[in-house]
Amino acid sequence: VRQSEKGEGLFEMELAGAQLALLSYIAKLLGGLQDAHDVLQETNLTLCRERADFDPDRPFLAWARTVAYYAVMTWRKRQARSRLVFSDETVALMAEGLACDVDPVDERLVLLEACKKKLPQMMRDLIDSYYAQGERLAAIGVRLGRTEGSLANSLYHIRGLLKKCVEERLAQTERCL
Amino acid sequence: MSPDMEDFTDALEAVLNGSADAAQRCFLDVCVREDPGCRRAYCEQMELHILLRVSHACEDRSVAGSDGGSQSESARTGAEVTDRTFSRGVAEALRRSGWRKIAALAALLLGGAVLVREWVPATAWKADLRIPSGDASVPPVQLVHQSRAERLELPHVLPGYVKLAKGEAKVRLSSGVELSLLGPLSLEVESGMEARLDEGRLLAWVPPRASGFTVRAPGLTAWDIGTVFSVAAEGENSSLFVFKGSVQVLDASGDGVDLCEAGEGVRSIKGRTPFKVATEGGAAGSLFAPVCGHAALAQPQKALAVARQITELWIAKYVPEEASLVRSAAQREAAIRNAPQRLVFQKSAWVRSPASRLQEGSGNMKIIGAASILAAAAMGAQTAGATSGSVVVNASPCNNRHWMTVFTNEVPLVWEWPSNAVRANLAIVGMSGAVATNFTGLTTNYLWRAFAADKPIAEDVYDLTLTFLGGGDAVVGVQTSRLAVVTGAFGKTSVDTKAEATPWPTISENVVIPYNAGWAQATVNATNSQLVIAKQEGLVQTNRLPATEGYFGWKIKRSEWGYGTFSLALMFPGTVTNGWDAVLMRVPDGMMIRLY
Repeated sequence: VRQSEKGEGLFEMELAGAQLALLSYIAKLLGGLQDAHDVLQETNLTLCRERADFDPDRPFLAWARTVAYYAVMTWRKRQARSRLVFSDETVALMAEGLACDVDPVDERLVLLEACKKKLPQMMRDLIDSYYAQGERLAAIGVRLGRTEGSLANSLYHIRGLLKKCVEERLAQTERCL
Repeated sequence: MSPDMEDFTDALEAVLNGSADAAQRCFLDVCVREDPGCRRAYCEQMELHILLRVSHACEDRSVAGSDGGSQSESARTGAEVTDRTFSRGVAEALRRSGWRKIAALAALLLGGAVLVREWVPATAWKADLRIPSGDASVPPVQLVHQSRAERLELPHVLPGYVKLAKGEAKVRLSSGVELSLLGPLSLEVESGMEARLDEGRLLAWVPPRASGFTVRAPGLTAWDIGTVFSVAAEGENSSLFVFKGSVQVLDASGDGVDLCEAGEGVRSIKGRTPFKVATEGGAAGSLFAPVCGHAALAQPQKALAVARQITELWIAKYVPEEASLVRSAAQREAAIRNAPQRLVFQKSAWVRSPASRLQEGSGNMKIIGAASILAAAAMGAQTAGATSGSVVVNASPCNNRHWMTVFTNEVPLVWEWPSNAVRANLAIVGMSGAVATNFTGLTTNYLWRAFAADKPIAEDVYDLTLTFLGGGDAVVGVQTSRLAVVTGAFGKTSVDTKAEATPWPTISENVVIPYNAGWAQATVNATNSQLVIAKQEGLVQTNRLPATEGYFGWKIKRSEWGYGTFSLALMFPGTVTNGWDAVLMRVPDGMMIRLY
């Protein structure tokens, strides 16, 4: 086992710090969170097994994403085609685009909390019902007298709104640094 | 929302919550593969979806931890359970690899933002979310300045109303938001971060610390993200326009209309889906440039006027069916703001003096007006230059109705063909129908059959437009005319001479309304005229008429007017501030029973 002295303990920190970014990467390639946790687990196991290849002088996330990509492809091979959201071509295209993504996902999670609090009450209620209470859109629709399509549209806009809010706050943070 | 966008959001949501069918998965796959914009939108949405899942799952765990884990299993979300499984898995993987310390850390991290939150100093959270708290010595709505403001009322406590009868005022809320108010206005300020505009117009400046400031107006909710934007409310309609920054706009049911950036806005009309408008084209761009960004704050009146003009330009281009409605709303606003004190008008008959008739006679063509001049000179309908066998000559020095009235069911139209024209289109548009004819070569006349029978069944006013096109379909000339079909020109018509009679109490069909500044001495020298039609508690339409005499076609069938009581006011601006009034009722077909 090769392990440089300066890399001692760093791998653990890097791996822990990359979890959210890896989950985001995998979920995007899979088309959902449902199976992303399993694939992330496989990725983590592979990374742990290959810890000896860890080079602290090279970007950890890029390496971890490569491992995650192969984990995604392996997972896809085990699934019936009818379960897959994206074709191989689309996955490859997305992976290429996401490979160099350096978005600080963890910082976004922090900023998201502030942005959520700025939402109008009716928007907060909707995302609370959907994300916190785990209520299905159909059930929310019955309760609010709205169609699922209309609620899907609202969620789309809320996420877009939060994205913009987070980006602006991130830009402000960067300006302040 | 366009159908494609609707399909995209439906498919995306179904994929995110694991309920997508084959068609939705296929749609999303093609969209993400073929369209970079779609791919970007998908990635952004997925990332937020993940963050929201993680964020809420962590909140739940925080609550569960704080109350000693009393939260029941059934209350836990599916996301939480999967997250817990997930964190256990990573911890297990790391333990297997022999790193206990990091296994514990990962278990915490994958628990979510409990750990993430700890990275941020508590003070930073407070600073980030701080909105200035209320100070008892400072009123919740402070007056910054006013200009010709009349009957301005500010609330001492919130929620409370701001009212302004006329003029302009600028106020500051406790959040730091500044609102330029244009009267007449009624605004309920619910807090430093929320307000509801019932009536009137305002321009808002929202500092970054007050990001999230919300304004509600009829049919719309505007959620600001640090910006300068205007909101106008009139009756049950409203509009919004952004001069700087971004505003998320929702409709009455809370659905997102869209995110509006500078130069964009939303128009909401009762009973219709709100739609987005944008600054498009050179004319709109020129209008927007002087009020773009913070420049709007220095001139709120102008900024609001520009917003309205840009909205009208957009609607005229992309939503023409709404154009008249929007114009009438704008005119109603302007009419209310500029309403003069109306005087009691005496409708006593008068006799024009011979001298004045002679004076006018020498300038006959001038007072006939542009439309009728064109009818005579360019598209001669029964004029002296026409090719028809019989030519009606009207020697009257004024009120020469032959330039504007149809007297036969076949009307010979005559014009000169421009030398550079290759083809021409003739469009004849009336209230009850339209005719379009193409001329592919040199043509100088056309026999228009205005109606089939010998006598017209209904009255109408037709706008005629002859467009000459050159090579490459460039427009090389346009001639217009307006001709009226009135039944009185084809035979006897009933005239009720009883003074006490109530003329014209009800209407059911489209109406041709004659007007003439010469009906009263006070208005004989008028240079322009307008007819205002107002539905009781409804639409108001101000029609600027093309001359001081002629016919106006009021299309009421299959229009937005509907049924009800209508007030009509014929005015001749520039002479006196009064006019002719009429009140009409339109009731649905069938028998009307009046109960006493």
